[in-house]
Amino acid sequence: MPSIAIRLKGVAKVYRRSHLGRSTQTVAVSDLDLEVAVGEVFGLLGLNGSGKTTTIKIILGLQSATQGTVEVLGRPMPDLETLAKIGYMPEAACLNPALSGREALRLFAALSRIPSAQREKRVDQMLERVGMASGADQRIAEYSKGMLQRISLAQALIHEPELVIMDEPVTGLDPLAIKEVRALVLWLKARGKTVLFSSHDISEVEQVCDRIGILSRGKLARVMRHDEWAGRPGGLEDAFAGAVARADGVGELRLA
Amino acid sequence: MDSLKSIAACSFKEILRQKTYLVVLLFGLILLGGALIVSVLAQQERLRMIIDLGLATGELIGLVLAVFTSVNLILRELESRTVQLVLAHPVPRSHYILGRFLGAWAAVACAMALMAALHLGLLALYGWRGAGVYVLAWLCMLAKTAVMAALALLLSLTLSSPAAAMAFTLFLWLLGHFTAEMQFLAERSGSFLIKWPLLLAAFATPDLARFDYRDFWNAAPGPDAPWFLWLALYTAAYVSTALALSCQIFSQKEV
Repeated sequence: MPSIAIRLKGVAKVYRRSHLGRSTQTVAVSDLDLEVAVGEVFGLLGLNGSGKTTTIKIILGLQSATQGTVEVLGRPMPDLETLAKIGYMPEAACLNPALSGREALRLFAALSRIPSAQREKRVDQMLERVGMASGADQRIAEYSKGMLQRISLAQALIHEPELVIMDEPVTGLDPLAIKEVRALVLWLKARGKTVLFSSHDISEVEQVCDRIGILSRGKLARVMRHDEWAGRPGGLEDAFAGAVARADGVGELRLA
Repeated sequence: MDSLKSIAACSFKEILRQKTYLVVLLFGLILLGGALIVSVLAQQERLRMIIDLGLATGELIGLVLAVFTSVNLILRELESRTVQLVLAHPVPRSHYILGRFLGAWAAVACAMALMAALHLGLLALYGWRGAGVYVLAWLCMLAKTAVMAALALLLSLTLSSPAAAMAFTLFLWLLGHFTAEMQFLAERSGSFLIKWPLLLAAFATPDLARFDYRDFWNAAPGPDAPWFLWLALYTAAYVSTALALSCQIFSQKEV
């Protein structure tokens, strides 16, 4: 069993686009070195456009790195065997609206290689666990954001993954749902799972993470341990403000 | 294989629940009923007209459904990012493409079977009993929709635009009925610059006239077993090639 769950070495991602003879390129991530230990809760903090989602997609093998190497659970990505041990919860639920919650979970249970004899039982258990047993047969198109998030969570956990990756799990949620996500992360940690989540919500990150990495303009600007911010007034917020720079072309507010 | 089956089953359900699919199917069923009214114009050949109009409607609706569903099959998933969640699971990309294609084609086959059943019912009312050749004609049309669906899927992945892919597919559908003429023109052409591009286009375009069994089932002698075998092989080869290319393109796509 490897002690490092995620290892990125010199990872870079450049998007090249060409339209009507005009080429543009955007550097989403560059020189990214990152290690996340097994059993650790690691938060990826950054502003919009800082490269958080790109980093997650590279880790999952959804996008290929232009440069560098990516290893997850001891194997280079992309790798289907490794994906079977990862649970991914995207920022938007990205579920097929034509299916019901139960049908979607059945699909993901099959895709996660849960043996067919156990699938139905596992689906029922997960629906019960995420509090969606009563709304499971409704079409996803009719779900509220909270319900979508529950099904998204259920699909990420249905195969009991070793590593859970959550992309902006608290964005757009009400305070009660945010509290539940926090409890979930701590529950996963208590079960020895590795959790990587991205966010720009500092208060959430500082409450649940063992370590954080601050991404700024596609580079890892700083990595901090929990004891470096815990109990210090303005600890993580100040460190974050000092480390990041806007990359989206938006200037500062001038309130004088 | 489990992932392929599950993706195909979900795609099948998804398409059956799409409003566009249901509306086009309903339109097809209405057209079949309309064939009864139009056939009044040809009292002497009424049965023949119901058969022809019904089969033509079946092919048209099958084609519209096949092209429309296939063109949007992957592009819509890319746009809604649903594909990200599927590919974040241990699913080979080829299984995803094949599963989506099989689910969509099964939905098209379902629509065609429903239309065939209604059409056969109407024909039975007029005392027509020609089930054998009739079933073969529908099977040939189904094979034609499979070829067009595979081609539409390939073009949608190549062009990344549903409108462009749809336009190109319909153009190829049209061209596909004239491959023999293209070859004839190429043979007759004296210019090297015209002959070879024409021959290349004739071979790359699916030979769709080959699938029109309904046009010559009354010919004597009618098509024999080797004709059907050749058609089955041709369909399998064309569909497999288009799907293999689609898988190759999709394996390079970043989602």
